[in-house]
Parts: sequence; C-alpha cells; structure tokens
Amino acid sequence: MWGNFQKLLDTVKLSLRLRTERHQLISSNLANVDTPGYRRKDLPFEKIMQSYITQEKSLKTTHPKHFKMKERTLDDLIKSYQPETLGTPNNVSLEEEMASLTENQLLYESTLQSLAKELERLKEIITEGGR
Amino acid sequence: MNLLKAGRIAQSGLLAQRVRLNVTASNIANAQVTRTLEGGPYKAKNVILQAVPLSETEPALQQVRVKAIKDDPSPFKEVYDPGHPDADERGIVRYPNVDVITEMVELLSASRAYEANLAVLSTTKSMFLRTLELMK
Repeated sequence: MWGNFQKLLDTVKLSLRLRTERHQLISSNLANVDTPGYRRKDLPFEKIMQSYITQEKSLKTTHPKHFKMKERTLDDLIKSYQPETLGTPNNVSLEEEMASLTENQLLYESTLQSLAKELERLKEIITEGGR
Repeated sequence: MNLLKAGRIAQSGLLAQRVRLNVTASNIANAQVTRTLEGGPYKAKNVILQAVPLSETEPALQQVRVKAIKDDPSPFKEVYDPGHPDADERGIVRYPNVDVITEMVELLSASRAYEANLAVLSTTKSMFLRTLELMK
C-alpha cells in the first residue's frame, strides 16, 4: 500500500530536483548571454528520468565483495554543449534559453500540481478511513 | 535552497547589464566631446564581462561579473575644421572614437539581456511561490 505512494513521491522528488537544477543552469546561461567565450550548459532531463525509471532492471550484487556500480552524480550528467558556433565564441541563444526557461517552469509547476493532488488523495484516505 | 541560487545568478546578470547600459549611455553622451579632464578627446569605453562560478562545489553554475571597463584603443576621428577652438595647427580637430551606431546596437542588446534576466527572476519567484502553496 505505502509502496505505491513511496514510489510516486520518490519520482516526483527526483523530477523536481532535476527541474530546479535545470532552472539554475538556464539562468546561468542567460546571465552570461553576452560573456565572451561562455559555453551553454544543460541537463538531459529525459535521459536521467529514463535511467531512474529503468533502474530496477540494472545489475544486482549477490556478494558483499562484488563491485558496486558507480553512481553517477548530477554534475557528471550536466554536460557542456558544444554545437557549432555562429561567428561568436559564445554559444548561448537568447530565444532558445527563454523557450527552455518557460518550458521548464511549466513542467516544474505541473509536477508540483501532481504532487499536490497525490497529497490530497493521501489526506482523504487518512480522514475517510478513520471514520 | 536551489531556487535562491537561480535568483542570485539572475541578479548578477541584471547588475552586469546595467553597467553595460550606463557605459553605453556615457559613450553616446560624450560622442562629440573634444576636451576631457585627462586632456584630449573622450575615449570610448568597453565593458568586459566574465563568467565566474557561483560556488566551488558547483562549477557548472556561473554568474556573470564585470571584469573591467577598458578604453577602446581604436584611433580618434579626425575632422578638418580650422575654426574649431580645439583644432591643431593643421586645422584638424580630433573627435572621440565613439561609433554611435555600434553604441545603439550595444544599448539594445544590453536592454534585451536585462529583460531576459528579469524574466528569469519572475519565473523563479513564481516557481518558489507555487512550491510554498504545497504547504497549505
């Protein structure tokens, strides 16, 4: 019973964390929109989410002395994109960053909304079940 | 608190763009000035921006900082005008090396970047407030 909620809360937690991380990177890109030589940074949200969701199928250790799979930190996953530079050594595009900013905000807020609904459901179960 | 960091980065961007606006305004205002306190015509100023990591633990998050305000090394404009009080013995007046068109473009670019940083700030604020609503 509790397992379902736990799984959902964990997923939402990771999602919100990645969204804030991405928000920070986008604001860093926008602050440096005119800095010579700056390279934009981004976070592959979908890839991280995918690897989290399919995590259960990963290798298991059957002996305490087996090597554990090294956990990748968020910083490893934040990669510095280096696509073609159009004349300037700075590759931040104002339009693209504004679009990703809005997109990221909307998805953050929808994740929050789903969390709020889930909490509401949980509360209802507790109050109704006690009657 | 992670969202506060995003706010700090946006704030550094606002500050840097405001310095750029001020310097551009100064260049445009002094575009015709032939006398300065240091002597000679006004020299155009350029703002040099630098990306600095917000903290040592997260080098990917970079705020922006005004590294220096430097004089433009390009030559002055020389105009033949013997009647001008600042003309030399050949009748040539040296005017500042300010290119008003370049400065106007700079002004627009700085103001757009300022607005972009403001948008980041208001987005951050709305995300923060939405998160707080969960506690109701």
